[in-house]
Amino acid sequence: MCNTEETSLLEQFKQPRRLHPAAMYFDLIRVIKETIFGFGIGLILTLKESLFYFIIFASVFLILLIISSVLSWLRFTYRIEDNELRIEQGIFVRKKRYISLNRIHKIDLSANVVHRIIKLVKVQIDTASSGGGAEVSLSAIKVEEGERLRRALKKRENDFVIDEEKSEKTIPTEKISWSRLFIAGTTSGSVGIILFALLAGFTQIEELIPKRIYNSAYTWVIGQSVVILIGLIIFILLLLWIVGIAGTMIKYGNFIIEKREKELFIRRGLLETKELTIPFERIQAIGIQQSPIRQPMKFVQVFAVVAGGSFDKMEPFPVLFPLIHEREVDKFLQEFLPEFDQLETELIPLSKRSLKFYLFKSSILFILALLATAYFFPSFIWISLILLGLSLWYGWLQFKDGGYAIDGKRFTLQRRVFNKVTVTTYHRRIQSLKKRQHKIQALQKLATIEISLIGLGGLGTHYSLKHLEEKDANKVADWYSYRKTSKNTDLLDPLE
Amino acid sequence: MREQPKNNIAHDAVKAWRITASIYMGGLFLLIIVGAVLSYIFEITYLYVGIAIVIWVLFLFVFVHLIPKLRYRRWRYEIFEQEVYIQHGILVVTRTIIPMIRVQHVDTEQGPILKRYKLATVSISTAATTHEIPALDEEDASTIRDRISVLARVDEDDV
Repeated sequence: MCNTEETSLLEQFKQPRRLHPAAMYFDLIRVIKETIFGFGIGLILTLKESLFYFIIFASVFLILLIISSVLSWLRFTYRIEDNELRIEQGIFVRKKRYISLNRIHKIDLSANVVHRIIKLVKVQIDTASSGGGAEVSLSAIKVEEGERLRRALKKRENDFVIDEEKSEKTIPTEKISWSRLFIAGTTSGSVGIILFALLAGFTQIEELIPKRIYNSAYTWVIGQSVVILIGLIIFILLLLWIVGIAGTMIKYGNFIIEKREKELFIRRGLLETKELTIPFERIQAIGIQQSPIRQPMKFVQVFAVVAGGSFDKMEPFPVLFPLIHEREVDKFLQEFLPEFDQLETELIPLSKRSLKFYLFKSSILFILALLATAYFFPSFIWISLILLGLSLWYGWLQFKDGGYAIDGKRFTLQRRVFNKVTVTTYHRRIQSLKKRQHKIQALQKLATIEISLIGLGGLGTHYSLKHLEEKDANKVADWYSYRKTSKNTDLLDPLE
Repeated sequence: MREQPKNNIAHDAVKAWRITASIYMGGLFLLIIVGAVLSYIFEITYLYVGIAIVIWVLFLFVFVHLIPKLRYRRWRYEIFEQEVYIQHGILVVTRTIIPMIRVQHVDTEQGPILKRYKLATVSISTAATTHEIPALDEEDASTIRDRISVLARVDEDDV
């Protein structure tokens, strides 16, 4: 029975098929997105000369784009033949890509807002070899057809899929509740980021705003009373906060993680649904991250360091769960990633001698700022003092949160740059180990260690722990080094 | 990581580095000459050109004389059956362990300056990082490259 169903499924895709006509629209949008920046520059440059020529140029370009979208839609076909997915495309240069069904590793369906309105999905197909980006991307096909295509392509694993369906009730799943999501939004700290982005953006935009408008707005602001100004600032901050909450809600809405036989499956997004499958063997390390705002409430975010591939460039490491209480982390990991459980073990802390390095580094800029304000604006010195106090406190936190643990083949490292991050990995996942030491560290018998893991796109991900006791750094090196026997016999540390 | 690696790189590395640094310094000197000519044409005081020359001489001493010497003294490597061990860095001394079973590929490279002194650079890549041992004798470089690539062929084991 199974076999006939299978063949009929494949039979359905025997004839070459086109994408849904909406693919033309997506293609157009994609090209425009890629070129809009160049156009912006072109506009600004040519605007002074002649707007007319620019419009003519832009419209010719647009017409060409539309024609090319239509033609490439006409030329793009896909079919399944002889156990291969066959894609043909190209307007002038005809390209054929045949991918053996055995080689297909991963099939992801996703849908953005437009897809959802016209009930379409985007299908991305990856083979094991591909580094970054999907091997094949079908930008728009009907939802039912997408599902059928997925089943047809996955036919190899049919037996296993059926097993999975039988035992579906036992698949571990975890959803995020709306209340948690709300907390995640309120503590996302995006206020700061958005504010910073606005400020950075503003200095750029400032030059574009006509002087007269800018001046009159400026005099208006100056003319207002302090109370109104403070009110305005609070209002803007509140608005940014709400934007942050909405952003988190949209990004992580309907978040669900599933544990499958060989992979983790994540789906999320309120407006734009995104799916991600993470094969277990590609997971290099598991980490938890805690921002200072979430620290008092003891909430953390769980993420994975994965070799190649995440949701997008903005998020190099896929979030496995957006917000979870510290005491639930262990249960979560036991369920989904048992080999990485007990992430928060007893850590070996940093030496007291390292505290001064952390305090110096975090506060030096603010000490200089304090001196500058004391000299130029003595009446504002309190601001500098507060900032200095905060920075010292932060240095102390960085010192307190640094530590490491070795447990068999397992290595755990905790450190704080801004957020507190704990990562745990295995000996075989660490690609290389560095020990760094400058003169002052050497005098104080301290050293910095850095482990390198496989990250996105061959660049690697590096985690360092600064100002570790030198003895501990050597211990880590001995643990990592493969030539233990020789070391133990002739290079024994006289101190130990 | 208690003892430093045993082997030095080729001593001619110092000469090669000095030549590279000299080329950059030559470029800077041309800029100063341009500055001097401009000062002459526009009748600006020669003070700035003077300052630039003083800084240039200082740079000449630091980048051409001092740094290559210090860099050579610090650069060390050792190749074990199980791993490559490298040390470098003048102010911050960095020691790196690269296990053989993590090595993806090994390359040797030789630019025109290194070629003149019969030197070559070996670079060792893992899936996450690339490490270079600069300026080894040509023959040493190719033996090391071959040796590492043989040793690196060990299968992923029980780690």
